[in-house]
Amino acid sequence: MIRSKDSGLLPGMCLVALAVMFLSGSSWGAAFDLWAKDAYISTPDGNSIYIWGLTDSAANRAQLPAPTLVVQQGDTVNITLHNDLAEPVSLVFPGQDVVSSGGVAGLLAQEAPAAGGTVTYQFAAGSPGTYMYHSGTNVHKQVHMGIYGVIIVRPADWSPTNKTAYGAGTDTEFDREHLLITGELDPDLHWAVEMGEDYDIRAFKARYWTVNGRCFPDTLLPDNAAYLPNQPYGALIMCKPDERVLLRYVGVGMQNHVLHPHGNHTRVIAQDGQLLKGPAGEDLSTLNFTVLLGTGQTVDQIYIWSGLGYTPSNPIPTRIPGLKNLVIMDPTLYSGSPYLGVKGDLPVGTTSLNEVGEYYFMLHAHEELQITNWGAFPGGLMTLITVYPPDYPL
Amino acid sequence: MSKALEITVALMLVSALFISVVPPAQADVSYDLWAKAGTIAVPGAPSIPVWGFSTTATGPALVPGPLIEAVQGELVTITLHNSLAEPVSIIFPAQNVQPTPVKDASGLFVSFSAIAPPSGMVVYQFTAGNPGSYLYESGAQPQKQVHMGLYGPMIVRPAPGSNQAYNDVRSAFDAELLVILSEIDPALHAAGASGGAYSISAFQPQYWLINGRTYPDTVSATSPSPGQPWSAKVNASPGQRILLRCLNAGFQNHSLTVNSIIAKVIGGEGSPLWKNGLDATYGVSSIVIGSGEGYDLLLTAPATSGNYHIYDRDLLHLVNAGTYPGGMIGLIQVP
Amino acid sequence: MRRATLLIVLCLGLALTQIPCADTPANAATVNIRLGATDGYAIMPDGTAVYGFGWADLTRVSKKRIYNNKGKAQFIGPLIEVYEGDDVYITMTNLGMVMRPDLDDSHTIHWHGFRNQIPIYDGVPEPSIAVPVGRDFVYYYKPLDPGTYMYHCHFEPVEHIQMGMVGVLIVRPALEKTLKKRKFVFNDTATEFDREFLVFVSEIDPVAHHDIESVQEPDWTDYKAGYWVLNGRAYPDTMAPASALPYQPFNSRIQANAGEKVLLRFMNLGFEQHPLQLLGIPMKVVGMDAQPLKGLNGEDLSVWKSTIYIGAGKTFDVIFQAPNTPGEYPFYNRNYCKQRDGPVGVGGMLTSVVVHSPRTLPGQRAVNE
Repeated sequence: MIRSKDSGLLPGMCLVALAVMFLSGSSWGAAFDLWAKDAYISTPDGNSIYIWGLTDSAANRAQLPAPTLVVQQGDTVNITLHNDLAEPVSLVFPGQDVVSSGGVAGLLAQEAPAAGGTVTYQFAAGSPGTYMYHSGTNVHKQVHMGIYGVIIVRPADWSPTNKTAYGAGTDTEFDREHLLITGELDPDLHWAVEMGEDYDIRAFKARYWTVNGRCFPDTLLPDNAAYLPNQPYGALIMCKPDERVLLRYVGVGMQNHVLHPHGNHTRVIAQDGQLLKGPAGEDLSTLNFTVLLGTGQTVDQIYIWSGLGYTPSNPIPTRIPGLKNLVIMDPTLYSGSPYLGVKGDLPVGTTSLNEVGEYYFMLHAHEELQITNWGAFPGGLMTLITVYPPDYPL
Repeated sequence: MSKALEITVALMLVSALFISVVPPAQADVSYDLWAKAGTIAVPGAPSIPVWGFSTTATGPALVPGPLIEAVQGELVTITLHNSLAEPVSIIFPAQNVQPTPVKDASGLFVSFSAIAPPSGMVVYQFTAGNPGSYLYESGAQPQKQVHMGLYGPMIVRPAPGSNQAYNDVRSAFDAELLVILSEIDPALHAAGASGGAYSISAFQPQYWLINGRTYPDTVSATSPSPGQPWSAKVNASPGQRILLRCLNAGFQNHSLTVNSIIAKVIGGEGSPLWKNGLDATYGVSSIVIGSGEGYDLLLTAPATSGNYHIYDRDLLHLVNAGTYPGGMIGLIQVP
Repeated sequence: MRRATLLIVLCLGLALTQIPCADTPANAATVNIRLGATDGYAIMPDGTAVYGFGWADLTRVSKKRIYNNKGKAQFIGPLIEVYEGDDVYITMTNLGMVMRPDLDDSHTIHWHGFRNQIPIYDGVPEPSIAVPVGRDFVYYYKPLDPGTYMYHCHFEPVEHIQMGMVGVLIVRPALEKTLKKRKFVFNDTATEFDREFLVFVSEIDPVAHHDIESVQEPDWTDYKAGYWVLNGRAYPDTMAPASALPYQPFNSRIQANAGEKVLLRFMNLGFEQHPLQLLGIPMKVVGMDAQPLKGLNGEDLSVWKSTIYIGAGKTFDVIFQAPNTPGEYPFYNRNYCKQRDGPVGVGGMLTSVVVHSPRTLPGQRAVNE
């Protein structure tokens, strides 16, 4: 089965941005240069859609979504925006107190003028959590076109061997973390921008939905897949039983989304980078089987799959019919056996993508038209959670 | 008359004297509202027909309607005068008001509460409930009348002139702003005003409003029309506490965000999040507000002076008939 | 006998301290349910018969009559009601379709929200299996968390869910076995109620349903709801008796005697988010997604609302107390545009809570009665 390289860092994080951070000298130095450019992205049904987005190199096309910026609580973050587009752009940072320099005043933020202008934003990363950043100019157009990304603020006591989302004593320890940024694409509106025609948001009709800039099944492909050059982030979640998996949902697009993972509830521990604990330590977290992710919101949650204890020596209490009396998809993710880590028989000729008897659970939008690619199921706002057998070297 | 009876009668007369002399324990508040036709203005459409509540028989129809203000426990009397050609009514969601629905001959709802017939009137009376922010709106054919503009805000205060949202010192504020959300489909407004076929199934808003105005009128000191007296702008000095009383009177669901500022949700619909010995308030960058929902947000004006816009994070609603910027954009200004 | 008494006393003690009652094999039942997957029609208030796919209740149908129920799907599907700790076997039979004999779609059952499930019982075909026409499959569940759930087909879910393959699943708390004849949402006496009603919201796109009836492929991104339904019916049928629409057996006549506690189980398997407003009676949300609204240390996170905003895939357990004054309290979708042309609410989600004077209604014997 295809899998993303899990280096223990945030999967889907732009490794180049991380390098910039290390090279800047401070422990988690936080100066970034981003260029607003255009590009084309691909959908699994063969469509090629023009987008606007950000990239961290003057030589690159835009990427969707923008580079994920990882900083540490206490950092002073500096972001310089260089504008290669034909209209002004800007960035807003929900939840952050931003001071701008350069550029010209815009409605929601200081702007970088068209064709080569720049502007610099500075803020103190005061509070750990998951935050978004997106265009603050012509937002009805530029956010939809793809100028959006995520900022992760690590807690002050963060270390790779002491991974928490919000610091010690906050019940936010995790073993793995994944980022899931939701978005939508109206190909007609993107075409209008590509052709320089009138952009009428009143005609907005999404035909594609994305996680980390990709439509299922591209969401399962690795980070930096060569055949998706402008969509570098995958969304495949991989874990083992009993691990605490931190899922950072980011609703940066034009619509609310209701997200439902199979396999278990999630415990929602924070929203918009705000830990769900009261001033006296009250715990305000809740268990959800579906999370309503509003536009402009981020939601952090912990997912743990522990199973029900079934093994070949503690078998399931029902008899599975013979293969002739079942339908098994082709290709299938099924191993042929109901038990974790076990493979069984499949119909002759079936292609199985199952490696070692791992389990697969869908994580998807529950407004089900959104799990299509222009109406064709499966597609869109969907990914998979893969639970590997405990002894698998993940 | 027997002596006992004489004394009893004397006592009754004396107590009656006290009853008439002793003032009522709470003050009463009374409002007269006229439901009438009028017009409001948005950029590019200076005369959209509306129905709104007015404080006088001859004054303009106001969208949103006038503020009803009461103190918890007060007796509120609302007299509704109907200057329209069809029955109207008012409902008070989230208040302890028993609705008395009206149905037609085939048993279908005509109104969710008692109606004032054309040229007639109806009186509603209730005890103001928990402190908080509420909507009042038409309960008669609401799919038409509420869209036409028959809605308004009600604030219940914990005490007269109180600077607290609830009976809790943590809900104290220095400045407050009503943020009432709605939409306008001009074709439906024209149909409603002319008495033509009102096809709610074709509902397609072109304008999105805060406090009855679209941006940039939302941030202007000038009313675009006599029917739109409220802006969606509040000034505050650094460190001042601002209370946003968010109410969705529209037919669409909206998301509200304040640029750069994390606001604290302290309650809504009269129910504070300080309860059961817990502080269950929580910070948000963006909050989903469904139709009919209300949320009270408390935030602190930042130290850096500037403009902090309040806007619908459903970015499709930031246009006026397709032109950006427009729609649901308001402002917190820190001088 | 003594052991059973000890277990009951232990359960009672645990229940009163609001700790979930441990699974007691002596109390667990084996529940056998049979559901048939097939097609059928739902009737809308304007007389339109909307084609759909759905579930038929075959639990008490003899084996040789099972296929007589082809074409007799009900909307919404049969109510499944079990207790925590039960051994639940759901046999799903794919009956095939009457109006689309060309369509050999498989079906599955997905228990939405079942914790720690394994793929073979989770009902998603791609990582497990699906059930072909004319075949059975037995799903097994041992529910451990009381609350309000939903079930639906997960084969081509965008089509099968919209076409109607949805239903309600209630897991009752073990507390009801120890404090008999009383009803609770969870193992917590603070969640006690007298009557319970279903508030299952969804929408119908009549054009898409007609396309599928006519062997056309709809473009799901053109989805446009044309009816909005509560428990499978649109107003005014929401307020008609249960027997009024034989293939839509759940009405939305919420009734109680003054002073009684009423549980509303909100569920959404549509494609839209809906705000439901109850006029004149405050509602207390005590559960969400089949979990009590409590923090890690038991913090009481219940909230009072007048309008419940529910997204697809979520459930809420909401309790209100019927006021002392009898009357009719309207209950409606506050997105007032979600109706057909005509008087208020027609074709949409509108009903009311009717409060009677004390002791008027006898005790409720079944959910939604």
